[in-house]
Amino acid sequence: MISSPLRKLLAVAILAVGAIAVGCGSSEDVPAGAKKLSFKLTGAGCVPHSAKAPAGPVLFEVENSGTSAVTEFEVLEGDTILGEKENLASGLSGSFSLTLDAGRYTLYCPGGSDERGTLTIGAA
Amino acid sequence: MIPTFVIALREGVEASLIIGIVAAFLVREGRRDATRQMWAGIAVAVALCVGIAAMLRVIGQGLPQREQEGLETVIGLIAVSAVSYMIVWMRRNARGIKRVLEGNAASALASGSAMALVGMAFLAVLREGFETSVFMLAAFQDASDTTAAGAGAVIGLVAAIAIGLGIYRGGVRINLTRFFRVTGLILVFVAAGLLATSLHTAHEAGWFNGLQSQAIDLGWLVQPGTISGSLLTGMLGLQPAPTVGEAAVYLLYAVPMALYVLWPDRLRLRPVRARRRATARPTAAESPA
Repeated sequence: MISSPLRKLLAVAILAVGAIAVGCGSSEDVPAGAKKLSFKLTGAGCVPHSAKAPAGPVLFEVENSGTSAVTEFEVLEGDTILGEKENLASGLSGSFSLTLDAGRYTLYCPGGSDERGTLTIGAA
Repeated sequence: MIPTFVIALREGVEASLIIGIVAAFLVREGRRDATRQMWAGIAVAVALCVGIAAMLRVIGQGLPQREQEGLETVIGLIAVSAVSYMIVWMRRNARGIKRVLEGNAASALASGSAMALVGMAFLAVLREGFETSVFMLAAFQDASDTTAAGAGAVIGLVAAIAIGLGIYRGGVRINLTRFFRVTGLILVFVAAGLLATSLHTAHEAGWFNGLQSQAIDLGWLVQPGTISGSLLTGMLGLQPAPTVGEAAVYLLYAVPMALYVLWPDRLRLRPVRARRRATARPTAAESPA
């Protein structure tokens, strides 16, 4: 028998799982023909510090090559975070993809000595 | 080993702290029944987080970052209200608590409130649990040195749990009035941190993009990648580079609430006290002619 508070907890849990499940498949699928950009997290920040790609889908591959000061990688447009990868401890790697229009974006590696770099997206 | 240790410590310590205080609170209130339900809720939350993380791994998907951050924001705000309620409850009852104990009166904690606390412990685990589980699995399977990374992550989580246990032990032992004052003050900073963190996760979820310029450089205090930095971020919600919005909500919450908790009883504002006494037992001077 399940007591009523536990039932409430389960209801919350199911909602949470639902929210996570809805997100699955939408944000993580890598679009075909995505341009691949690889970055390393170092004490200096994102390496390379700036990158270029044509407009369209971009796959960001991020690897921590041995720093404990930087464990996060973000792509921002102005102040808006478009995509990020967190908790990349030394030796861990991760990836995410975004579809970007032409323009200038910020590569943000919080904690690095020079934490903001630029991503320039040119015409397709 | 250290890099995964500090991340696991940071992710685990907030939930551990909240659970430690909630457990001590429930035990002191004589609600061992609710404590059992709390543990059941925590077990369900842990199983869910590990289950989802393992499932995502099997189907080769990452954790949807925006949805995860959105979930953290919503749970964070619920937790802020629950913690605030707890602070006010403690403050109100700190004065009367000795009388209550002497009179051997039944618990003043209504069962609805006990259940709210059980729910809070559950949500505290769920909040960082998904991300932590994904991280733990990655440390064990993807790291260049999985033994060191996995061991670091496990020890970090154990250290986080040990801190919660220490708070629980201390909370059960010390003088009750002092327990309420001390935990009340700790909770003020925890709640202020949760509020600032919720603004941070709301930004990461794409919900809030204002006030993003850096308010102050706390890099000297909250050093990324260090144990002290992890504890300050995990327990008090301090970021190395808080934004203007985060610093503002932190101070707007922490300053008045800390004053509320610490304000000496004898300096209470008179009108409140007089009104309360008047309703309880009107004196000659205060009762209307």
